[in-house]
Amino acid sequence: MLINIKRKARVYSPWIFHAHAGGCNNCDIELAACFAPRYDLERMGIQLRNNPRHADILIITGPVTKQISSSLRRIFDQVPNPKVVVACGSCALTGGVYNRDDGKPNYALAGPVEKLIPIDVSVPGCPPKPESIIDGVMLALEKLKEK
Amino acid sequence: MNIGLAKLVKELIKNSFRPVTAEYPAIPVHARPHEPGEEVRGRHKFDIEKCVGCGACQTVCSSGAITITDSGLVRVLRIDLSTCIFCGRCRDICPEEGLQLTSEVGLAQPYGENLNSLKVEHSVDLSNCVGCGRPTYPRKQIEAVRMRVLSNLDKANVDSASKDMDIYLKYCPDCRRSLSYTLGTHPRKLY
Repeated sequence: MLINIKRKARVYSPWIFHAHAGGCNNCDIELAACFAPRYDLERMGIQLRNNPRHADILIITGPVTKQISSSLRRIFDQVPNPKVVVACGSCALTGGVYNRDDGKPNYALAGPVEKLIPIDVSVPGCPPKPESIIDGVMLALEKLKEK
Repeated sequence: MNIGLAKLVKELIKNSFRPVTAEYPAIPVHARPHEPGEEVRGRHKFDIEKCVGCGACQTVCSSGAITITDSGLVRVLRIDLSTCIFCGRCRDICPEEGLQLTSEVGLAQPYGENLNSLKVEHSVDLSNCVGCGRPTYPRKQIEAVRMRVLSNLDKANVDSASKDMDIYLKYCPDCRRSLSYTLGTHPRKLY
């Protein structure tokens, strides 16, 4: 019974940790706009935390640079189970504009997010609109219900 | 001071009636009353009638989201929306206005499921080279080139040019070069 209450509470008030893994910072600006009054995510009980140990949802932006890759893996391990990963922006999904034209790997990147950690929800766009990010978080909640 | 205070109070009252927080589920962008005329670039849409499959969109794509694959007599143009940055250069460069960006921006979806929903595809027919039998250009592109060239020529040259094009547009570039004397389309005949 206690587990059921916990599960219900988790879905109604999930906390988000935002991991920035390189890139141009535009997705981060849009994500910050999601928590501002215009596109208010906090009205749905969702809060942005600055500690991965508090979080249920991990939002990753940017192509993962080699410098940040080990830290990102550590952040992912620190998020308690059950957790949902949202890859936000085309960089996080495929590398986006940081891919080379000739198909060779970029020397600065440890690949898109899917090479390092499993993704649950994808939010394409460069940057994704705040509406799109909110849609992604709502889909993440659906995933969180199942876990 | 008092005037400033009055202005402040007026602004406060106004603010309490202004829409502040966007509704969720989101209203479509074009239906929002307080954001008229904002251009939003979302999911791509090929115009099946107009697109000729020339591949100009692929050459300008800055993130490499557009790929062209020729298999047999079919050319497939594929846009990967998870790589695309929605800059709109493909739409701007398109000579036939065959590619448009719709205002559909809510593209979020569970990862790994229905992968095709993040891809926009369009296929065109290729024509065969009469000489060597290999596939050359899309049929529609050849027609478009003919129309465009003839409309830019002087009236005196239209007849001879159209006769020449009737012959050599059936061939691939290699065959055109090697057969230009036998076909009578070599540019030297004009001198």
